[in-house]
Amino acid sequence: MTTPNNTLAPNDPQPDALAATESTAADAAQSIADSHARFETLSRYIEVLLHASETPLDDSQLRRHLSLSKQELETALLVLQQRLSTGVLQLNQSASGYRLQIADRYSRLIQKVFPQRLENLSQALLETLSVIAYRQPVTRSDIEQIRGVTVSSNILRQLFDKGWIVEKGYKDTLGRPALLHTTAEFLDAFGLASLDELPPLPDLSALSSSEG
Amino acid sequence: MMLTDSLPANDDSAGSLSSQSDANTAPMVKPASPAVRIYQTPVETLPDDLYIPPQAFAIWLEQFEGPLDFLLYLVKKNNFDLTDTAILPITEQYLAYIGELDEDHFELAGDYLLMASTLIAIKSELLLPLPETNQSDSEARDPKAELIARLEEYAQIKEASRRLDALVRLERDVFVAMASLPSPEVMAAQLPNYPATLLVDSLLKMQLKPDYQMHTVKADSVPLEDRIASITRQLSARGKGRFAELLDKSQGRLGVVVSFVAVLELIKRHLIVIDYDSAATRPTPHSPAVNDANTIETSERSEEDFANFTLSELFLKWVS
Repeated sequence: MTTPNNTLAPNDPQPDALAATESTAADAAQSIADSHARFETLSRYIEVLLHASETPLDDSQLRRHLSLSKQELETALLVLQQRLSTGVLQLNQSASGYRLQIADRYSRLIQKVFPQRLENLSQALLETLSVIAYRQPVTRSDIEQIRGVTVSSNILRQLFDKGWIVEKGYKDTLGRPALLHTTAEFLDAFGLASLDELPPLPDLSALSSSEG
Repeated sequence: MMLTDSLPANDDSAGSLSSQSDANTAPMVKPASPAVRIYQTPVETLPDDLYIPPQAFAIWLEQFEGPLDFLLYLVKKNNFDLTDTAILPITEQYLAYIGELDEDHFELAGDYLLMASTLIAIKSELLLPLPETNQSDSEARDPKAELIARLEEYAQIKEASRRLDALVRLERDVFVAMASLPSPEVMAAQLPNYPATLLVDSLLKMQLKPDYQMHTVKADSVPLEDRIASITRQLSARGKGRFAELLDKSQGRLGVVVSFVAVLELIKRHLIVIDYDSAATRPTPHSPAVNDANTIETSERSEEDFANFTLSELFLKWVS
């Protein structure tokens, strides 16, 4: 252990160093301290970037900006998480990357103090969104067929404005209607990592027996 | 109203009579309780003779997300199994409700009326005996099954939307931490300082630029007036002389040009003339009309003569 490994994660045990002579053990301890300080700094850089960014930042972005290896980033994120645990923020990983959010235990406070910030979605909007999320890609007429009501352009505009849906491609039928998809922002907003995490569609038989 | 009246009440479905009465009272009393909870609120509690204006029915109908939602409500209200719904009593009730819509609310009722016509079509088919010639069962359209399939799909989506709404949602259940960037002063301090005059300077530069290109003024190294004065002095003293003798050799090529311009200027002022006679007397191989010089006018000289003419040989004569 003549050359201490500076990039070693702080939590990694160093059995070799412990078994070595007194002086090399001291060196090793010093290297652990250095490495710890480095990851502490890195975790602060990550925190700054997440604060300054308007959108979540994913693994590759963070690694590129800070020139980190996959292992280093993981460690730095762990350190960040640990450091945040004493404060009011928490690190959250959503579909499009990491973001800092106010810890869940304070949600109630925000809801009470800023009721105007809360956003309740209308039943019509939720149903339209559900059709798109579960049946995508869909056209407007698909939505009308399932809901039995004319699609309100106002509701679609709201969904577009939120960035939750996009038009991508056209259905190869008469009039070539645009196909609607949900976006990564939609997943972010609903705390989903991917479309697979959508709540399962209710089973029909269970639906009619439980509510019939 | 027309739809309700036209319905025959003679079908043999068990629940039809009681549900029919439900149907007639329900829309009347529903709007009385503003906090509409359609699945829980008992609708029979209010007196039957309570007058409810037709507009109220429209408001009540707006609680539903459309005809499918409304049909689903009817199915559940009657405790039918969704997959085994007796379509006939539901149709009766649906049409009874829709019949309450007055003409002023057709714009709301468009989707509902479409469904009503579908229901009437289904009901007609169910009431009429099947033609025996129809053998292809697999190919035959079953509007009832189609409707039930749509109802099921809608019920599924409706439940799915409830589950979607129950998810932890950003800006409702969780909140993104918003740290502001450093204050403008701090940000500005890190930027290089630009003088306020920078803009004015660049504007002036931009305006002046075309002028630089148009006026490239250069001082005359050989002033025309000097040459005119010099030639006048020489010729007035000597009477006549060759052009080459009038030049100042130190002025070079430009001096020749300016001197020529000076000569032209003096000719224009009628102070000197070109002495063709003296020029013609000089023997040049390219001037065959030497002897004719006296008789031929200047203007009649041919192009070739001028082409062979040498400027330095030009003889000038003082006339004034």
